[in-house]
Amino acid sequence: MPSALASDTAIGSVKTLTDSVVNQAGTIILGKKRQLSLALACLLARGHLLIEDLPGVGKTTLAHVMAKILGLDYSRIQFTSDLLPADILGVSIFDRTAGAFQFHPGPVFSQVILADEINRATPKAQSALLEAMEEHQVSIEGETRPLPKPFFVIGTQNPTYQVGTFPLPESQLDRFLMRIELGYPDKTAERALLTGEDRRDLLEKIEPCLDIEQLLEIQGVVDQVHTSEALLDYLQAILEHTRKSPDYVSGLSPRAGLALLHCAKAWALMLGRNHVLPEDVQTVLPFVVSHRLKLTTDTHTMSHNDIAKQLLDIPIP
Amino acid sequence: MNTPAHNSRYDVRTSPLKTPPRKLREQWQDRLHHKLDSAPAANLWLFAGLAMVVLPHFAYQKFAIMVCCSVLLLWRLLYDLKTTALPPRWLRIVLAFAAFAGVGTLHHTIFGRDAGVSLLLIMLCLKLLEMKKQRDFIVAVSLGYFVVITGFLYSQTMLIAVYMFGTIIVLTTALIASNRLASAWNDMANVRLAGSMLVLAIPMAALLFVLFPRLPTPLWGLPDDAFAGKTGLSDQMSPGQISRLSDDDAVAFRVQFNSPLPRPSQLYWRGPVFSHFDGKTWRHDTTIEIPDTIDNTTADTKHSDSGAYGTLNKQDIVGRDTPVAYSVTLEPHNQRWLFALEMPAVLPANGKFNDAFELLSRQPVKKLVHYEMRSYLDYDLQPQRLSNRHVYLQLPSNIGIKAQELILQLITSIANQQDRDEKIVAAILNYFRQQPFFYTKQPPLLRDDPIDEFLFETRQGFCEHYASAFTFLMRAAGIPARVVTGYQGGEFNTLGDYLIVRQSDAHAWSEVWIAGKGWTRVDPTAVIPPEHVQYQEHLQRFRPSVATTTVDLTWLASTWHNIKLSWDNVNHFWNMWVIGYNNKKQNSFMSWLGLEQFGWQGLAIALFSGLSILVMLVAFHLLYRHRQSSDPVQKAYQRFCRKLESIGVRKSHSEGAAHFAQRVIRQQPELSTPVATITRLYNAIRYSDHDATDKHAENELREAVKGFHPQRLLTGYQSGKNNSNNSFK
Repeated sequence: MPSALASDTAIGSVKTLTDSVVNQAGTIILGKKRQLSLALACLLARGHLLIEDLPGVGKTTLAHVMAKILGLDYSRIQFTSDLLPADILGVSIFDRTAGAFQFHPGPVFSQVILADEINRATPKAQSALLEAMEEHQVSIEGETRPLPKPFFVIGTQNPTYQVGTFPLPESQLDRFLMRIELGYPDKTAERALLTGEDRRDLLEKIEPCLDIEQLLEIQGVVDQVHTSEALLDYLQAILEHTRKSPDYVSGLSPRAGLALLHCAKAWALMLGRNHVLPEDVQTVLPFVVSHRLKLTTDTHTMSHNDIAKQLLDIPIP
Repeated sequence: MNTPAHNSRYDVRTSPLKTPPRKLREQWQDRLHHKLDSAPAANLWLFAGLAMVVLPHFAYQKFAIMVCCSVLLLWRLLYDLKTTALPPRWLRIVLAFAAFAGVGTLHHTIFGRDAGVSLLLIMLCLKLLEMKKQRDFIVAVSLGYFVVITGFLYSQTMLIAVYMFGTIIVLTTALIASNRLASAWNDMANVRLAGSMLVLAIPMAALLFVLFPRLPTPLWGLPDDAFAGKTGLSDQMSPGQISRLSDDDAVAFRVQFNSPLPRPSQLYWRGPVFSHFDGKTWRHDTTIEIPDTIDNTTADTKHSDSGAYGTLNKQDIVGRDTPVAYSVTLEPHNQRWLFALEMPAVLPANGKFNDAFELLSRQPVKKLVHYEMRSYLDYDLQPQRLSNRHVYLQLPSNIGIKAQELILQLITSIANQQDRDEKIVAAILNYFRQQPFFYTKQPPLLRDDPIDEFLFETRQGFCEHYASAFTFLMRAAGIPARVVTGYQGGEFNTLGDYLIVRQSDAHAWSEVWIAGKGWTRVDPTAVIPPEHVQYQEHLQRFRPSVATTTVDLTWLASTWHNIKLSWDNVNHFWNMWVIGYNNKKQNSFMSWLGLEQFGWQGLAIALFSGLSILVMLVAFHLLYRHRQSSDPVQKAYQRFCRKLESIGVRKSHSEGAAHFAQRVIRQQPELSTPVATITRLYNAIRYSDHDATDKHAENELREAVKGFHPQRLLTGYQSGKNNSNNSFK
């Protein structure tokens, strides 16, 4: 049932917009177009993003750039082992002039949140944020406060074998729609980085490509991207494989299946298509499922490579 | 496709963050040394499998050995259930040596069938006590696969084969379970997988069974003590010996008649012949050497249609009718007798006659043998001369005094009459008929003088009592006589058209020598009047008959009887075609295939072509499993893929259409227009919001595929038909 929004011209304009977002961001984060596209797709699919990498490869910059380009307000929470839930959510302080408690919202009341080094905080602090991610609202002192829309959390994580980390449990990893890795820049990008202007200055100069209304509208269009029976067959074949294969401790959950579907839709839309192809599923697959699957032979969660090898080999019906 | 994970630079640089992918070999090594959990399902499956391996041996092995095996198995089970620890190393070594010593003491050897199997069983169970790593587990399962076969050394029935099949499934399940760590796989799935693996292996096994070259004589025979425990007729006869068999339902042999079935009263299957009586037991006369007088060398081809068996010296056996033709499948009984209707007209291959006209095999019958026979039902045996006449007149001293008096009276009453001998025979038979003689399965015990006590006091007996007493009386009257044992009658299985002769059909009768007629069969049991028979079910014993039915059988009994007959029919088939599948049958099968002239090379050819066909079937299934589709769109697209395949570009089954098109165009830019069009159409129909009732696009796709000729395009010919854009995504 093609709606007005999903019409070809609308799709075309969405593509133009998203392309410009990715291109703009690409001028600051060099040589990482694919990751930028994925991050945008994740945002368009109304999901949260987990970036797992070493410090200093540009995770914070990426989060900042995304917020700025999309015209969203941005705050950063540096997770440390002594971080308390109130540091994230906010706290009520007694105002002597008003004679009453006044709520001072914490950094969580922003549209884009960079939760930096999320696995360095204690589980108690982690759960405060993760609850907000799932419910899109927070309950403080008996009062439920809605979070702004859109609400996009970019969590960054150090590799779990580093000292002083509290690895996120599977249930909380599941709240992140995608997990990506940035990696070192390639040689030309690195040279451009070294010779070019300071990234912070560039960041200041950047102009938003979208406003909030446009963003919300595009998020609405994503839902209307068509998925045919044949495509759903393929998706189910993937889910079934993970559930039946002895290689995984447990198969993908229905929520994971939905996540995969949403991401593939967003990806198809960003390519200017009003329907999803198996290729879209294959593109987003490693980033959507790798943090949700655990190999029986290995205690670490799977790397993107392992997923690509095993799940991308499933025949397309 | 080019995910970030595939960016080579990215990959190399980030690899220190991840554990580098281990080599397969290392993974395998790791796996082998992987410590077993103390109680995973796999261990319990292994326990079940090995218990199944050991279980049938309770019937064959010494009890002490089986107790040891059970204790060792239970020890492991208790360890798996976390109640005990495994024995330390020194104890395991001591146990291993003790096992050798124990088996050696029990069997006086550690070689041969029984000792060897005992040793294998104990060692298998001992292995479980040192099973700590994956490697040991695999060794234990493999040993189980090996030891399960030892059951065939004792029994080769179909039931055992089915049981072994089950055992193999359980062992395979254990192997599968040990290789699966995921909880998603439950036990039933493992059993199903093991079962389907085995079922898939059956065609291969059947092919190897039928076509693997068989030698006329096996490379190695069964151990000497195989089938030692078989019951059957023995080489002597004393009261009670045959009645002991009357409860034994085991099959002695099965017979298939090629000519009309003889009358039931003619079905005397001749076996051991006894001429020496010591007052209690009938034996072969050990004073005369029994020469292998008659052999294949005196072959007379008159009634023989093949050189495989010869006929007998005409002077000794004179047939008076056309012989009946039949084939016998004899169960192993560990003795040398071959059973045949009296009187054999030919010798089976590997058979010979002795002086008493016993049909003997050259070796003890230790495996199922099958032989073709012809027999005269009406015959004269040695009518002219009787050598060793004294042997058949031998009597023990000091017994049967009253019996001899009885005979003396008889002789004086009919002295000097014509046909004196025949009259004496008739008179004695009459005596049995008229005096209160009873036929019973449980005759009273005879003590000092079995002849007199039976004839004048108890007058209750089984066939051996009658045969023994009758022969004694004949000898007392000066008529050469001997006891013959064998089987009488049989049960005709109408389902398979063959006769089953069981151990319970064992019988004893007499032969007397009458001048001019030779040896004549006399069955004294047959004259006992029916009302003197104490057990109805043994009616057949004295009223020779081929028991079939059954008027007074209840519905349940007759159903049960039919089931038994069907089961026997299945067993007969199994014996004929599985156990009895030998070099000869293989040859005739090959000639049926038309490959006989090639000999073993023909077998090899048939074997390899059969195996190739099987492998090809599997390969085709794997190849085309994903290709069959009834959807016209899929069909058209598959046709497109086949066309591209012909120029060497193959679509992998997990490759999306768009990616495939990109790859094709990268390799063959000349094809970009049609490939792009077809792919765009295909993706649009299959994945976009396409109206299924709209056949326009479908037709367009079909036409485009039809007009797509990659080879022509590559050689410069342009169709010019497909000029649509290539804006697929």
